[in-house]
Amino acid sequence: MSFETQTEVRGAVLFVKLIGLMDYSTVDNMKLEIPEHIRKIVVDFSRMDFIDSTGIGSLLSVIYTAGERNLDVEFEGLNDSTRELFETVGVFRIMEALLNGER
Amino acid sequence: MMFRKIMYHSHDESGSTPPFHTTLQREIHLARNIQMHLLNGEEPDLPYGEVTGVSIPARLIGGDYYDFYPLSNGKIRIIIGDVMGKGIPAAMLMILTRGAFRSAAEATKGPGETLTAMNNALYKDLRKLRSFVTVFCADWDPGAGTFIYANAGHNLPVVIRSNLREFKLPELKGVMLGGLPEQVYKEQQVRLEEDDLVFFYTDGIVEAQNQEGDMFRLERLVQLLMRHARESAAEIESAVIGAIHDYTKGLPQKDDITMVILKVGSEKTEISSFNVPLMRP
Repeated sequence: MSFETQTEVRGAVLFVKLIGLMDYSTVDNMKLEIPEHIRKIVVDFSRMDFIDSTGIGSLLSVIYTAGERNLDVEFEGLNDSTRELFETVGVFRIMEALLNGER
Repeated sequence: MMFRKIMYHSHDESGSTPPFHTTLQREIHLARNIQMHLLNGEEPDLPYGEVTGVSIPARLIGGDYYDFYPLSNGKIRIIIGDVMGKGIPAAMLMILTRGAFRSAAEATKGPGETLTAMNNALYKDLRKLRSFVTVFCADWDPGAGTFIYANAGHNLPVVIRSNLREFKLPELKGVMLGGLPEQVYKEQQVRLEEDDLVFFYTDGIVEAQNQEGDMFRLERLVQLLMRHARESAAEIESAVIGAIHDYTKGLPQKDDITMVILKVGSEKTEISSFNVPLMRP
């Protein structure tokens, strides 16, 4: 299985679609460049088949970068198992902390 | 300013340098030995019941971790964890995690404080490395029958009661180690009874894949544990490893497989499985 990202810029929003298997063997394919004028990143998981801890690590990198640049991050298209995984490891808590400006 | 350059050379008797891959292989095997010895630590001596653990790395070395730390009054602190990533990088961080646990366990009163101290110790390094560790930590008091736990982003253990029904531990979530600074990890407490089984695990078990790419899944694990819950910890461990092997048909797995099995006993329980090797090749 493979992994790819599709990105599209609409105004100040960067849309990122994750497609396929996002794990240790594929995640190097995720190279996300965030243009200077972007104010918000929307990550679409609807076509993602699986994510492991390395994939979560890549997502966290995006979240940390967004936090440092005061950008909003929004997830969409999450299925129940991925949502539960993110709840368990604390991805949403980190997002809340960054968006609330705690860190 | 003066720079000093140190170069290390290794030569065989003929004076030639061994090929790079030979040196690398040797070093990986040495690293594996170090990891096995550290994981294969002192066996806990419970007054009642038994506890055992096993870790099977997907590669030569892995990033999963489990450990036991004896406390006063016959209590024991148990931890299981999973470092982000695989192979050598994950193994290096696993050693870091182990050191943080050993130091924190010594100086803290409960599992929540232990995780807080571990996160305080590890946060800056993990953040810098863009990595994280999920861990579940529990204090088991065999005398009082209390099981107090805290969680940093890990899945909760499966508990099978002596009546062979699954008991869902009260939900407890906490951010993974390295996720956010200054985290305070809450604790939950339950009472365990004689012959209860607590099965700690990493996701390599439920995500083990067969040739069709289907996962072993939690439901299958729970059913398996219900069937074997009355057996000894060593027998349960063998049953789980056997079931995963049968399911995957021995297919190489992507993720490490690690479990810790706690069987609650009575005063009469023989601690018979303590000679089980803690780590398999």
